[in-house]
Amino acid sequence: MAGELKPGQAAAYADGVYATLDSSTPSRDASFRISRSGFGGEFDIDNSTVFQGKTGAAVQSNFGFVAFGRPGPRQGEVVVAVRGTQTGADWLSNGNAAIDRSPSGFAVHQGFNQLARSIHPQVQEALKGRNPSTLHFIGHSLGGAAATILADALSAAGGVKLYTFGAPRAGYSGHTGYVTSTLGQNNIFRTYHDTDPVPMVPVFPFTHAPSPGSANLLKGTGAIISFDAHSMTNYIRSVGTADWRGLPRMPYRRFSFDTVDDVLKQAGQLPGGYLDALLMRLLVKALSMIMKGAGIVAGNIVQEGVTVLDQLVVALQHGWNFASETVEALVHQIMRFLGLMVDYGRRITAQFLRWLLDKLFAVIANMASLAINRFVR
Amino acid sequence: MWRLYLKKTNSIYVTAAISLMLLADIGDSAMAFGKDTLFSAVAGTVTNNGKPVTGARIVAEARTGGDKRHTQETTTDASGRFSLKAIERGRGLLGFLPKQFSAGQKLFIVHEGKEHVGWSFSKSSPEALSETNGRDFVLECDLTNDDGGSREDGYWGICRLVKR
Repeated sequence: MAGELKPGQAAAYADGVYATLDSSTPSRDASFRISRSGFGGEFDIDNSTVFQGKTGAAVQSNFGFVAFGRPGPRQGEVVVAVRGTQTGADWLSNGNAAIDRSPSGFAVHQGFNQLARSIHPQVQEALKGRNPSTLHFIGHSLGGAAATILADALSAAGGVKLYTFGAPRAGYSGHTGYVTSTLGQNNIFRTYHDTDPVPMVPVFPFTHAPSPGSANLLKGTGAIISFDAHSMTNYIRSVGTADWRGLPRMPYRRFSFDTVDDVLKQAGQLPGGYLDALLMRLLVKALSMIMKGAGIVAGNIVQEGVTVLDQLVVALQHGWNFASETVEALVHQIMRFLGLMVDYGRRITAQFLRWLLDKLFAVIANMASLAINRFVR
Repeated sequence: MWRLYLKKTNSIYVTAAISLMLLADIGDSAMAFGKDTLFSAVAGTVTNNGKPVTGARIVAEARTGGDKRHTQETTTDASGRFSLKAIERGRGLLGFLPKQFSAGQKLFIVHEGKEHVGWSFSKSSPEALSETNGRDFVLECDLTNDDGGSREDGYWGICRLVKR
């Protein structure tokens, strides 16, 4: 099995692929943009196959390239790079994210899947008769989610490695587990900034690959959620010239406890409140624990007509009956994150919970979508 | 039902943030807070085998967001010189937020019925002069040059970036 690409190299491809959109000479411009980052040599980007993609109602446009390794250490290997998109409309609408079947039959985000499905036959066509030894799938933002689904679809074609930067969650845990076991967790290189909002969406039951496995959690700009932390320019800067082992990796905040109360207690101790990225992370953690406890996250089960939000409201309302303090603490922390103040002592109604969670998800989704919209306009 | 009190300062931020999100893509708005540079101000000379080319048409084109084209043009003077102002676009009300963008650039030289690509570049930062990492953007374009450009500087075309 061939070696993985270096972090800076993968980042240069994830960045360079954006050049395909606004150009009549897409492969050549992508090639020169990658060369400028200092990683031009190993793959023949000038003669790469540019493919189109389609998201939602948007017209088809250039979305990436398939490039072959030049004679040398990468001969016989292939890079498939997918750019992100500015379409922020429906595909991030968190609680109500539409579900689709991935190529392997697992539940994935419909928007990401549609994009991957529009690209898939073109990649297959480009690979025809090539029999690659290793396929490197690379993508930033939405492109990372699409690359994840493409890696799933083409995992039979050879050794597959997946590199994502600031990517949203592509599918339910069933899909994530399948991709992780098929590719192998050591072949999945997920990199994100702690203050980048995009990897926080869509919320559970969507999960990140690799799972199990670790990701490269890099220090982003500031302590609160930052749009700048999503930019490929900053990812290139963060990974620098390090290799994967030497990457300035922030230890993943592993929880030494597994009860919701402890998570919320930790959240309550954070000095920051409004739009604090770590508070956000803890809230998502607490909410997913509650869902897990209520049996909502059931791997690959797609419940028609019932959104995640609906299920969460029911779970929390149910929780109110036997763990009212926990639900109250959760509500308090969510309100703190949203910059709201609350008067205690009243019963939490389903209507109120729905309003609050809706607002929470909308704020996360808006920030994520805004961060994406700052890209290609 | 719970009574909610909006904390004054934070509610202003929330309201402002939500309003700004709605206004995020105003684009060329006159209300713009700042400008994105799609193609930085550029000067240069056009020669043919070293001899100045007079009256050559210079067309600078910047594309962003898939189908939006912004162009401007000029002609070379008696000594083959040209200069073009920056192609900018209003940043919209959210322009104070840091961001990355992507813009495709082409500079065409049209002379005696023939169109040459002088400069082709994919700009990854909205900052002025990011093409040259902040240096003056000066091109020397000889019509007999190959279009190889410079991989190190990330552009191709018959022009050469003057480094000084």
